Amino acid sequence: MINPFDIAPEKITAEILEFNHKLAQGIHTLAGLEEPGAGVSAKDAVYQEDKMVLYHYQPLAKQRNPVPVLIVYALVNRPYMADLQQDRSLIRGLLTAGLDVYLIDWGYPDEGDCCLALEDYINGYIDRCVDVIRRMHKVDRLNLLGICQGGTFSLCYTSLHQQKVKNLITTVTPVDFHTRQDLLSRLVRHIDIDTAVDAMGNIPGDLLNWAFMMLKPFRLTAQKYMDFIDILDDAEKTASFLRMEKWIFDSPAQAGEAYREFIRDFYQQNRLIKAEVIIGGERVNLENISIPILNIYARDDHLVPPDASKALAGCVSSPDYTELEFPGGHIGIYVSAHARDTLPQGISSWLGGRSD
Amino acid sequence: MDKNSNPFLNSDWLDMQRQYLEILSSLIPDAGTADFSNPQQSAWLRALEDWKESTENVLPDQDKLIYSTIFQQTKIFYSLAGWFTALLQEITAKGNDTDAWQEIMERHFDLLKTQFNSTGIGDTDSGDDPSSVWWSLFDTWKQTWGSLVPVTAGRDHNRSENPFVNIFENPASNSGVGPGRALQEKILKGNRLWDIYRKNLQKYQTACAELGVIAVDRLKQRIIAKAGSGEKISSLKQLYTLWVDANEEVYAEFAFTEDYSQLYGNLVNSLMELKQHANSVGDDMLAILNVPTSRGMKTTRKRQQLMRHQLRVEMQSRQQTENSMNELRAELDKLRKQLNAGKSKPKRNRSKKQVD
Repeated sequence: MINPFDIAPEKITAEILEFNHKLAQGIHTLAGLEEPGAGVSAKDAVYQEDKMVLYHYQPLAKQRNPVPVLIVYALVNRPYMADLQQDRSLIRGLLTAGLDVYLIDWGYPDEGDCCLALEDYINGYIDRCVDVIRRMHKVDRLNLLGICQGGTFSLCYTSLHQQKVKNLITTVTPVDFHTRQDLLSRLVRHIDIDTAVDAMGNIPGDLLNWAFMMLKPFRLTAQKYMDFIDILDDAEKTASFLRMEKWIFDSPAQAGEAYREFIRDFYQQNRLIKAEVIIGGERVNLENISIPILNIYARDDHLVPPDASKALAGCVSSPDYTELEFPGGHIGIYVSAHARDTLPQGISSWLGGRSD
Repeated sequence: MDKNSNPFLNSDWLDMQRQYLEILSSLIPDAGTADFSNPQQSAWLRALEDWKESTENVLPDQDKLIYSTIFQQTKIFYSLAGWFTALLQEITAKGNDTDAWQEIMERHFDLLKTQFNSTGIGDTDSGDDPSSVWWSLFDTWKQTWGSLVPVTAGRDHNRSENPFVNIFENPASNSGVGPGRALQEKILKGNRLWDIYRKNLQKYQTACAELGVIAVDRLKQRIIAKAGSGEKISSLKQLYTLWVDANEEVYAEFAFTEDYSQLYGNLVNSLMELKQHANSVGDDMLAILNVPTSRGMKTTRKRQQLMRHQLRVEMQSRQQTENSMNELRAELDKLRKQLNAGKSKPKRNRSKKQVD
């Protein structure tokens, strides 16, 4: 067998020298950049309760759809990922497509919030935000768009308050938490969540970052940064990378009780698809959902595998159920160029036909 | 933002540092000066450390962490360069012997495998051989999880010294009014929990060391596969990518098993029990000093949350009552108006009726 190593030792030296050059140039680039911001689209706070703020984005185009859209983000990570930069913003795309967009920002829970349960988030904050928007727009129902865990919350909410929701869009939303490719679910399977929450109170954001990192530890801790060195001489690309890094590590703590319930009931016992989740004394049954649903999932999603999202099809009774596969990963669905060019228009045109 | 727009940035000094690293790099003749058995001899690594120490303080705070991460990974990259160069030098020395490369590669890979066996489990201080890509994960574990438990923060998690002993060397704990036997029992329990955690950590690290050995074999297989198909490895970066892929693949195969789930669960659960015990000990000391404890705060928060729920129910009930009252008032007003309208109509002529 022929020797596959087509590289002389001197060539390695040259490669290291080039590497060092990039590293040295990188310090210039890093030192000259401003701290990345958090979101680019102008918005106004229209309602606030505890740490939660409901934002209304200022329109960017003539509104073509009279029914407002409320984006429910996950508790994990910050929502400005959907509005990361001018040319990578789902929210800007939706605004440009003529939609009236609201977003719930959950804020940063502290020790005083440790007793907040899922009921407080779903029947409390989300429901009151929905009522605020309905009053402001004098409508009976609005459109709900859930992102990841926010999509799971939106499903629970719609199951319990369907009379207030006109159309439901779920994006990279886990429904079946025990699919074969769900590594995150396996990681928490044997965690004694009661001891963990009793010991910690709120769950620090750093722990969640660690758990996500452990899904692909070598790519996410090693290779990512080695590839970053290759772009360190490009200020714009470096700024984009740093913006994403800021978001990745900007993880709020999780309110202890809500986290306990979510891990136990959803991840460990997979109760959602079995219609066994109880929120505020009421059973969440996805079969109750009969309004139009658009379920968007990412083909290469390692956090929420496609099967985990596609399971929704078998749970709802809606006669108007649409699935949309996006070629990308869990985050790419919001920040990639392809997403920018296709997702907002796709959502807007789907809603457009369902606004009467 | 261009570096020139920051008036406080000393770009001349940065330029000097960049030139310093480039000159230093050019003075080191080849990457293969790392003696694999004596990592401290690596000129590359020493130069890199020196340069890092002199430049990192100029970076904005938000970039220091990413800079540190880049350097950590760079050390691993350099170590791969050293190891690979030694391999290539030996292959080159054999000239046209087309089969010798495999035997040489086997020998070097076997040496690399011994690093997983001989390196102190959890010893992440080397960064001087490719195996350190695994050990850097434990650094992150200790920083993230270890910092949650005050008694373990900053400690070597592989040492057996009971961290609870030192707490009670504090004069405040020798007030003479604290419990004697109860305190001793807490120390003993803390000792037991610490031992359980250390054993679980050791099991986890041993499992990772075994995976590292498998990853080395996996890398070897990939290289042989490339040789078989006539593909070439023509850069250090390419080899680095193969190494990362091999590690990721081997890790994923294990991570999806029930064994890993149990191993990880046991590790986290034992640390959380340790934390819970540490919290309890801390609370006991605070109680002696008559200072609010976390136990007490938790009780207070639960009661507060319950009261908020009750208040909201009462407010909703009151609102419904008020709505009902308003409806009744409106109905009453309507009836009054009808009554008044009836009174203002002209009366019939009674005398005319009597004549008839």
